[in-house]
Amino acid sequence: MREIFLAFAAMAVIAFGASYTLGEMGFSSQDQTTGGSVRLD
Amino acid sequence: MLRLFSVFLLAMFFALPAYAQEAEPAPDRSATGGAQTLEDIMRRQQGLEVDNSFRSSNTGNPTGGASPTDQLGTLGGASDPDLWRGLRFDSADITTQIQHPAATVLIQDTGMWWLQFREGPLTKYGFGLVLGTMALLVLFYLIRGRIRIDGEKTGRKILRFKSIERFAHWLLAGSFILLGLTGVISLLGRNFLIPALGPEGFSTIAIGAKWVHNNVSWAFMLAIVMIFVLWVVHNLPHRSDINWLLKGGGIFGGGHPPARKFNAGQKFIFWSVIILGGSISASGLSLLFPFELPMFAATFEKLNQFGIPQLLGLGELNTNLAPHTEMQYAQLWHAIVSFVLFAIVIAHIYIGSVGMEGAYDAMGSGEVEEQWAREHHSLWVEEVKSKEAKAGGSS
Repeated sequence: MREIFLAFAAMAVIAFGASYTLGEMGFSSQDQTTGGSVRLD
Repeated sequence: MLRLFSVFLLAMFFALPAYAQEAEPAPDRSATGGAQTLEDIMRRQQGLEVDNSFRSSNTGNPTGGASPTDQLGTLGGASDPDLWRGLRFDSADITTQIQHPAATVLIQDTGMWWLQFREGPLTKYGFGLVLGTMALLVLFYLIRGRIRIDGEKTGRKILRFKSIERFAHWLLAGSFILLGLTGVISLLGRNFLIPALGPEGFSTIAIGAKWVHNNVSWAFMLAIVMIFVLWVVHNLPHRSDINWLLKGGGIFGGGHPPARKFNAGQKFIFWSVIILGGSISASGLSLLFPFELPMFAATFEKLNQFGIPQLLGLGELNTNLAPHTEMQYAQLWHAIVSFVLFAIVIAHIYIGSVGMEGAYDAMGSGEVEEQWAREHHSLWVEEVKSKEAKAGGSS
């Protein structure tokens, strides 16, 4: 059971980590589809 | 499951050429001087396939018209309809200030085909496959019942999967199920969740599902790499697999055919996960980074070179794909392969849980009852015992 919980925790860490990293690298929809003069949020 | 999959592949193999042979001859357009006919318009409205080749290349000749400075000169060799046809079939020379791979595609002609296929056959046959597999498993359970441990239990345990192996398995399993659920919400959510929750309620769920799907996909890809590295050695073909397959794994009696760490059925699951999961990951990456990683035009080109579509009676595949068409093919392929893998994995979940006594322990605690191991993986038990004896002898 320990491995199941560890795997699910790792899944959450990877998901949040990927979202943060890709956002920081400029891969967000906002960065990819709009110019600097457009603000979506 | 193997037999079913073979039948499916064979059916597809024979059905595709038959489908291709049913193509209708080109309609007579002499009455309209080569322009589209009422029949073309009606076919398009009915969602039927229309051969647009007679229009797609009819985009005028910009250099062919008399110069506007000449007496009775024209405004060029391309009329407005010519220009619109050029836009529609993605052959017009477009310049935009937006620097984006898809920015110059103003009309995407194949978009409706994709939408209709996505909401029609993809949904119908995809869910049909998954629900059909579930129904077959219920039927199998009713006929065969739970596969019990035949011999007397020994009370001794053998370590079957180490901690890292179980971690990789559950990372893959957890992410795959989550991706499956969120994928279904993305594919069909608007059809059954909007009536239940309203547009705003669905919007929140759809945004959440998209976030989960996009980001949990990295865990899925990592897990595929992990299980490949951990288990590929044990999943290479072995002569014992032939005997195992000939005896149908002993599912309907006939004893327990000898097997190593993984039997032929498990090897089929492993390679399905690696190949189909790898393909889902590739098309998923293409979708995750829109227009940046197109892969279908290049794949079609390779297939044309090997003559595979021609062999199936499909003719040469179109390799001049608009960026949006690339994305649409990626979406369809992603969903089709996911449905197939889901059907296979459902059978795996069944046999690893309710279908077989003692099977879950392998991925639960990692240790299995020795009698279970002797019945289902006798060659592996011998291997383990021999290693233990050697280790005992040398210490």
